[in-house]
Amino acid sequence: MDFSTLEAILRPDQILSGAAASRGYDCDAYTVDRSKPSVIVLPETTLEVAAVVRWCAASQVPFTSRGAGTGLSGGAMPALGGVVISTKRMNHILEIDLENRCMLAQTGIANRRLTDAVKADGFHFAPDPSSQSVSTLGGNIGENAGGPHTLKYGVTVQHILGVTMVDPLGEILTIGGKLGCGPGYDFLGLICGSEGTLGVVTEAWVKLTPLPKAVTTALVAFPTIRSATETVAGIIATGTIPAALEMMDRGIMNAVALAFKLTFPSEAQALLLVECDGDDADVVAKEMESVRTVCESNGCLEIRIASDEKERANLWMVRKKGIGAMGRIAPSIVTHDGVIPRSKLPEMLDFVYEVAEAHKIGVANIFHAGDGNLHPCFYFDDRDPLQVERVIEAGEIIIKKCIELGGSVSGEHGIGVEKMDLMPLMFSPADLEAQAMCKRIFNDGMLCNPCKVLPNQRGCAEHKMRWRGVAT
Amino acid sequence: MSFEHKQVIQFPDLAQNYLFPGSQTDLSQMISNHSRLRIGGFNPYRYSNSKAGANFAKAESGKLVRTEGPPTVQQCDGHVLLDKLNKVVMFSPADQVITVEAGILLNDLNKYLLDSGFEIPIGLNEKDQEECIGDLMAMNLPHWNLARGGTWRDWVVKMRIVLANGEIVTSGADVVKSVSGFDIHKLMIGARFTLGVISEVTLRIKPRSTPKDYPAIALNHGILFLTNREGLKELLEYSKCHTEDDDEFVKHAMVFYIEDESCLVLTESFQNHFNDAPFDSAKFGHVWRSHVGEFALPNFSESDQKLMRRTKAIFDPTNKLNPGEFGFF
Amino acid sequence: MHDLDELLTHCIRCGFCLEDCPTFVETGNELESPRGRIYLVRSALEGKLNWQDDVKPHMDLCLGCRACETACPSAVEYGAIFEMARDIIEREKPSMSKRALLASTTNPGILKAQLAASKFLPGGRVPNFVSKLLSGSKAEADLPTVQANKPLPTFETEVSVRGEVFMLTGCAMQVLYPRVHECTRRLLRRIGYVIRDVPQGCCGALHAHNGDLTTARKLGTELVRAFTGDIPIIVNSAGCGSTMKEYADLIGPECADVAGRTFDLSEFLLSHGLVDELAKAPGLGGVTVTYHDACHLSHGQKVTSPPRELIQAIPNSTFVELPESMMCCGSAGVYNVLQPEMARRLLDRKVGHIKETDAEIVATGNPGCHAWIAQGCREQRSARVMHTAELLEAAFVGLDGFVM
Repeated sequence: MDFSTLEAILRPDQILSGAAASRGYDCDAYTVDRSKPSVIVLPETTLEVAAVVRWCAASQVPFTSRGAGTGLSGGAMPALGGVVISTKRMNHILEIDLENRCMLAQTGIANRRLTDAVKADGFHFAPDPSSQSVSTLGGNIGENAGGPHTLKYGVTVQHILGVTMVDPLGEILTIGGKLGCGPGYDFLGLICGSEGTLGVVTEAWVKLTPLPKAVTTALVAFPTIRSATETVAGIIATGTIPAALEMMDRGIMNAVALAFKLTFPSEAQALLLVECDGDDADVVAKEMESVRTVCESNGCLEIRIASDEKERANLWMVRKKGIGAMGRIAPSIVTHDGVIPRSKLPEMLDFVYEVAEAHKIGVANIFHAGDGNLHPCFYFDDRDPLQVERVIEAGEIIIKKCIELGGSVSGEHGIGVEKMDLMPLMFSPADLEAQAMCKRIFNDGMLCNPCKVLPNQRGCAEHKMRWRGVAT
Repeated sequence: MSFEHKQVIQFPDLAQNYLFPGSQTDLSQMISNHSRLRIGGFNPYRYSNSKAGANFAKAESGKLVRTEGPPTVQQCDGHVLLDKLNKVVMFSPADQVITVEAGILLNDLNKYLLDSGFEIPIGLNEKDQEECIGDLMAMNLPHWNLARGGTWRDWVVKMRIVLANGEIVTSGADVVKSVSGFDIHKLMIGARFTLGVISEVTLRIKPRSTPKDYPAIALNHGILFLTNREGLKELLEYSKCHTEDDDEFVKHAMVFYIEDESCLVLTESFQNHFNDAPFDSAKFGHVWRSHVGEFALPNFSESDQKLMRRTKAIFDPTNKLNPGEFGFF
Repeated sequence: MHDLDELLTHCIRCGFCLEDCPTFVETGNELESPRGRIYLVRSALEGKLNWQDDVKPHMDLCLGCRACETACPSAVEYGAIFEMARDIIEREKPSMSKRALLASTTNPGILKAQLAASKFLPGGRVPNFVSKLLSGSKAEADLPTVQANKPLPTFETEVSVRGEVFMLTGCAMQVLYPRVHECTRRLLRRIGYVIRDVPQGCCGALHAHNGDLTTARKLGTELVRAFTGDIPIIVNSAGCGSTMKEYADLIGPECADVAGRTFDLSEFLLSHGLVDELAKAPGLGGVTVTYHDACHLSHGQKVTSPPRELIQAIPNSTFVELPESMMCCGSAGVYNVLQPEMARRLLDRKVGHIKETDAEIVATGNPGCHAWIAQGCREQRSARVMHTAELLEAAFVGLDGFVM
């Protein structure tokens, strides 16, 4: 394939190729499957993206868009090689309209920078995946990203008013806009969460949400996992919707204690992080009081309530850096992502510990308890192939159990290539065919982020072995 | 459990062979066995249009709805109404989700939830509460509580849909958060049953809260959410429209009604001129945008039409479901 | 000593470092990010990539600022990976010109002689043919000029002497910024400490950062020998302090005690009561001050709060935070000579932020940043740059003795 004609479209510094570049872009944060692109392009405008996509369509070269590459299911892996379209040079805010509480930005901008731009004015972009300091707006749209605060504020789709995108043939489409979507089919709802398979989203209008005037955060220690999960149910049942309701188990506590020299009650088996926020300090205080009552009636060991911003940040550190801290106690970790109905939490957690024990691997749990979104984190040594096998097997068993309990294969990490083969456990062939119909509205070919999300696509099965091969 | 079947509104201009499926399988068969079907009971709104020279008529509720002359109805084999599909399939207060068939009236659902202290924060007026939730979702009506409650899309987590070929498919899961492939259910909301028929939905529900004293105004393309009465006065001043009067309405192309003491709802207004509104948001509240449908047929852009036609061709290639809908199928 | 292979396994590829990496933020290129570089090093170790062709260009463009270490939740020791990878690359194919540059910069005698000669160079810049040899592109960095000074007012204090410390005089600092050492000496005396002067050489930091670990170890070992005794070692140059605190990893366990008694000047001043002394000082006559975090202070040594607390304690001054204060200015040792284009981009970014603050003075704790940011501010008519020590001393004696 002759890629040199791309030079008619972009400047030389916007085109990367060669052994190092192909290697550097062969996977995102999901490293089990890898595949090398031939060329990486760094366009700066929607028009440049459209020109690249038209070039790909005309040359029949596959292309995959990529933001920060923090995805955990392989969404940005160029499964069939070809061109990686990086949005990282499209990182500008184009318009801020505080009056109408919205902002237009290019999609390569990091989520956190959206909030940074309007924080002084009392606003924020509400979706807050753990990766928000780096993950891009485009990536968040692609995965319909969640985060600790989705319990109250909703996931990404609820905060997107419109997008400009380049469809797989290179045509520029505008869907919704500053005023949100009008009537008609809700394509915006379809595009959010489509994992970059429907085109390349280049710009988006996002909603700005006022920062709450009052916030209180509590970190509560419990003697048993069950007392913590029952507290979650108890808090929800009171009608209070906390801004965040997160749970961490002993494994996370140990890692965090080691990494940041924090101490927890020695008999604690679970921690709950509860945050209440709102505009009325009295109401927030009252909510926290009712949270405290529920915690105490479930026999909590200790309640730490943050009184200022610094203490809040300290309490949050346990949650935000928990997974990273696991990297200090084991060479490798795999973080899974499954969802179950909230009431099944105790049953599911017991199951996770059993599975880990049976597979002789370590597990720590950190998750969005309020949403029933589980993140079992297995730690092991990836230099031992037998351990890797067991980790993969344990992960699948856990996801199967989630589905069995009426849950979902993924809460926020997406399907990508990681969970494609688990989709049939959740959906019938007819369901999946209907999903394929949705995809065909925008993408009726094999060029735009091929071999993702839907299992058993023609022309993909034979590549699976190759992806694993590149990884090892 | 199920609810007593209520007589649906009759539409004299649409004398049809009414079909009342009693089960989802029934519905599937009806769709398989016919080549052209009208679906849903939301006709008073469906033929309205925001094009210039539109007519206005009073709907049964006494409120004003704009319509575009006599509707051009395509001949159909029958008219499917979902009213008998009104069972509560699953209710889990602990998980705060409820699964119901699509024919359940919003009013009945809300009453049912009220007993357990829950609600769906979709704020519609009394008449619209008498519509079934399948119809309401298919229309994706804007409502006065949009600013706080969001649209149907924010509350539907799972859906069963009967496609044009009669196949029953499922999308989503019974959990509040899920990224599991392409969300067919989102595409069905606001699609007016032209791509498939919503037969069952799982909804998130929330503990009932006492409504706050905020006036809100629904517009074509969003909601103006005012945090005090001053803002409301300002809006009325701006719109030069003080009364709920037919002449005034026609003159200024808007309709509004008082929902309750604290809330005024505009169902038609300021199309696309919204940003000219001289509101001081700090003083009067703020503008909230959301995905909303509208009562009137919009003028879709070329590219929107193209995408919609492509979608229709994929989901309903023989134009079986609600032919003529949106004015261009 | 570290095992490179082991260090690399700690990276779980989460990418949390990306937005803190200056070269990634500027280029958007994964290969110019910490995660990308770690992956390249790992691939080269596994024999999948070539050190010189594939890895070297990207290691060369790395500033070694270690902002990624601050961002990393898994505590990946990028600084160590970076130095070891550069060491492998240099050992495989040594760059003579780079060695010469390092040798001259870190030898006070040679540096002085060069500076004297540089007065005759057009524009006071590294000649383009030399720059081309080192970096392949045209020079951006002005050749350093020795700080010109008026004498400071006579020193007076009523505080009695309570202890002795060592002060690293270092290589470049004593030639370029003798005033910083003078201020350090005065500030220490203000809190009751005197400096025990000993013959000493370079700490080896620049060598370690640029892929010459052997020389770095040799210099480090000699320096540790010079500082024998159990008294604190005060360092006013961030890069040196950072390396000295890590001597145990670089040289071996025999240097284990050095980290515990090496302090950045700001740490020592804060913990030994300078704030109380500052309260009695006349202050700065209402100027606005901002602070740039030298990378090897903030990321290398995790010292961010002490300089701020001290500056905020200066009477009659206003402190404003600098946006992206923890992002590298592009100086990075000899980086601005070796990678002039990227260094210039980062300098422009830095000076742009300084302008946003409307501050009249930028304080910083490292000679490299000092010279480089001063050049940018001079060109763009922005704030004056002072070492934190100079600013603090000025709070006692006034700004008059310090050059504009």
